[in-house]
Amino acid sequence: MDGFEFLIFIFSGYYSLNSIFRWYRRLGSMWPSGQYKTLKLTFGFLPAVSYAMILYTLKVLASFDVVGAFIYILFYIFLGFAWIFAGLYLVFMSFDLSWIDDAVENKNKAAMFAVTGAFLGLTIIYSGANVGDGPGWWCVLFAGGLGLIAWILLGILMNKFTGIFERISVERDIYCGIRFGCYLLASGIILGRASAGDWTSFSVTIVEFLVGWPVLPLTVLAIFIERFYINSAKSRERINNNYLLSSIYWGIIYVIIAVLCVMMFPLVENPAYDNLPVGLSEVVL
Amino acid sequence: MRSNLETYKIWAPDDAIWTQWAKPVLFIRQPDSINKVELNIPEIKWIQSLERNTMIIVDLPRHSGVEESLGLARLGYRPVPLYNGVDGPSLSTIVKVHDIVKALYKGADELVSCNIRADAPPVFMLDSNRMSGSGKQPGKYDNRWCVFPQDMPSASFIINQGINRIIVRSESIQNDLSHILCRYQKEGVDIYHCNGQTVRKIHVTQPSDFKSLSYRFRAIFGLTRNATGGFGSKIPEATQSSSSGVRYYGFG
Repeated sequence: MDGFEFLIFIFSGYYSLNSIFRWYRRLGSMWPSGQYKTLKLTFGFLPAVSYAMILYTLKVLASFDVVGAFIYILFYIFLGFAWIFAGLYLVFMSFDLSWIDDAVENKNKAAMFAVTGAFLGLTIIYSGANVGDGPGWWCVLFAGGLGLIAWILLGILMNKFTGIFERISVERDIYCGIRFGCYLLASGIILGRASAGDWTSFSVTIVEFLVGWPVLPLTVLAIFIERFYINSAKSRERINNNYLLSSIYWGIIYVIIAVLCVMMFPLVENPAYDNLPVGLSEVVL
Repeated sequence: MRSNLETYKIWAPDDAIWTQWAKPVLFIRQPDSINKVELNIPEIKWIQSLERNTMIIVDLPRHSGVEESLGLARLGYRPVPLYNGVDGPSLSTIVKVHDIVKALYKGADELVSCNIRADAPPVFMLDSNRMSGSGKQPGKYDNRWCVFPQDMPSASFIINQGINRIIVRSESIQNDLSHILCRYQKEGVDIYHCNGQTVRKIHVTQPSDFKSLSYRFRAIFGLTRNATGGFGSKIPEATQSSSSGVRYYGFG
């Protein structure tokens, strides 16, 4: 580990541990304390789920010089959590969705689902960027950065046609929150795949990133679905109709589409991909 | 004196439809004593009786907002506290909220006796001093706060509840509130302003950054969050000046 890597290690370690501490302190200080169990449980598990996903990637699918090196695994875990919490700031800035203000303080369940999707989406993009061989941390940030920018821009595009951010944060439309949360997760899966692969050069990484094109039709589909629900709500002159089941179905469909897209474009370079179940058992054990 | 949770549940009962917007920030820390607190609850003359199509926003300074809201509660309205600035050490606090806390605790007795219906139209309570005082001053407890569209019900929600008229009881319409009122106005809800004497219909001018995605982010960036909820935290003292500027103990 060179000097600059060490600096990043210290900074990301401090930032990620501090962010995780503040995350749990906010959950723990919610008042009245006996209430909001769903939110506390969901948000309480999110860092653990992200940790498991990043750790699995680093121990099985990451660069050959990272897979067996404890210090580098720790380095990329810290970097990953710094990425996620910085990403949540970006989500607040770009989507006007705040985990603190909307989900925790306003107890807005719609925002809880959206933030959960965003948290997992950010994790998967980062994990995807760690897949494959590469010369250093900056290739992870560059490849993941492409995915993150695309993920943010597509979210803003979706809002342009559907006004989805206000429907979640102001209308508190839970069903909309479920669908958008699943969309963020699904688009994160596709863009995570697009960010994955062995490093060759900046320009080739951009070209390889185009494998994530299915995120465009997914976004168009999500826009149509949201427009349908807006029109349906208007025609019935109510926003909060009971669309729970159909929203869950659409959410599952988004995720299935994303998984199918990833299967359509498998990574073939790394021999470890032939041995995924073994790798998984190694991480668990 | 009632416990903090009991008092909060009186102001924000579980069965009231507007409770989901109530903020618990000022209820978390009990005041030392409320025995000497005397509330001067006014007899409301600018509205005669409960009007089910009317929502009221009381935006008055310090405890007068609580008193006015209790006057409206006697008519059958449901007061909903939206105060979001933490009560800090009294000397260094930028926005004085201690008397609001005491009024809320004392006013709970009055509110219990009002027997307000669960579906009664709401009175949203704001402190018009919420953004008074200058920004982050070293050594001060910065508990300034803003109200955002996310803190109040949406236009479609209030319309679904049969509300088509909003009266803002205040000296003036503050910028942060105009972001909310403008949304209501665009959806066809009539906005009225009351100065305590007369009620007149107004047109709310669209504020700058209206519906901007980064408006709330930038507004909150200029405030100081409390680690446990709401706004309020001490701004670190300067320790040393140098040619490059002022240094602080920690992150401001």
